[in-house]
Amino acid sequence: MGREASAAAQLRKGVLEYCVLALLKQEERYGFDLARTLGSVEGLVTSEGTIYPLLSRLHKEGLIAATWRESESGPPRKYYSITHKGADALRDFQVEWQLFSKAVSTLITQGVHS
Amino acid sequence: MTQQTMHPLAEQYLEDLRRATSTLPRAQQAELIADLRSHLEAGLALAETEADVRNLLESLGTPESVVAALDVAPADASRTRTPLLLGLFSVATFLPGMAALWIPPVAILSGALGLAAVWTGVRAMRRTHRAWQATVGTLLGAATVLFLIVSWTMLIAVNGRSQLTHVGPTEVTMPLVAITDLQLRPVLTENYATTGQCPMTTPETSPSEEVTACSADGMYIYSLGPASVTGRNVENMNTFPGSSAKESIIEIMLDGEGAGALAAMSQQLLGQVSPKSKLAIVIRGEVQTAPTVMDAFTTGKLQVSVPLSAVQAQVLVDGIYSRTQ
Repeated sequence: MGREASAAAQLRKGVLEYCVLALLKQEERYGFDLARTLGSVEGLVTSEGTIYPLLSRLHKEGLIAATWRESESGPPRKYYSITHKGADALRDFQVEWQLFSKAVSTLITQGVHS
Repeated sequence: MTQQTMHPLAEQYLEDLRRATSTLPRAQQAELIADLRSHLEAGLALAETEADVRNLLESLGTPESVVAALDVAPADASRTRTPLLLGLFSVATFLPGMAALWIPPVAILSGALGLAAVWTGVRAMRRTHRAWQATVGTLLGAATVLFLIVSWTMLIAVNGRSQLTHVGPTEVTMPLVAITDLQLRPVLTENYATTGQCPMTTPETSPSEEVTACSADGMYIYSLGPASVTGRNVENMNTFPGSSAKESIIEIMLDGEGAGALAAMSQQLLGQVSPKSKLAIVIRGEVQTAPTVMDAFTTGKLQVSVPLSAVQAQVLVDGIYSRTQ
């Protein structure tokens, strides 16, 4: 992996959980659905399976809740939803992210165009 | 809830995942497999062709990449390593302890380590699986504890036994008798024993009477004066190696009454004509040794050399000492 590609991978790793929280804030979703949605965002996840360890950790940390629900179309599914703690964490990150991404973006754009 | 078997490729994937997560805590492994099974079920429901299935698995990523995304709790690694280390340490401390014939603090330490190894090992084995380190540690710890218990029991049994037999020049075959087993008596006569005279069965005699006794090796026969010092007066006895492998030194420490009596007796024997200058150390009716008194014993401490090996001397002293308490 090139140096810059791996830097991007590190960035992705850092923001991925907040992307998950953001999706869950909109509505509760089950695992496969989340995996597909995240997978469709260019370069966000390398393999869909890796979100399950992440979901497990977020659950352990109390940022999301998980419930198994019966589904008419087949076996039961585990639905994830955001908790108050998760919503607070997401909000804090949004603030940080806006400041950070704006600053970095300005800096890099200047660097590229100068 | 019965699980239907899915497409063979999906089942294979889950089998590979099971193998890749075999060292994880059971709960974590189960959760991950359930989540991925659910994902595959949802995906397979949408798949129409074989290619769809392959794409499904492709996007999922290899089991190894999924496992790599886990935060491995450092506690898990140490959970299996701890019992292994404890087990090794318990065995390591046990072996020198055995060789030194039972230094109690070392024995207690290795026992404690062994128990700790078993406890942490069982906990680790319950939480994780295929953790060979935990199993080995538990077994080592259990073995140490078992050996300690067995040898402890044997040691108590040996000390409590009434018959002590040893191959060697001195055979202590008389049963322990109820009267005091140690007496210090002045020698009156000393002669070579003729055939049949020794060994002799000692009749019960009170310490205040004269008595006839054989030497422990059966070569001499003595007539001895009253015992002024008996086992009741013994505070402590120790053994030390002598000048050769067949010789040892027995040190006897007497209480106040005994020290006084010994001082008086040795003072009396000093300067007498042999054999009346000799002091007989009588153990269970046999004269172990009868050294000539060269100095008065004023300190209440007596050191005599006996024709016994270190182990025999120790056994002799252990046998007496526990009874003169």
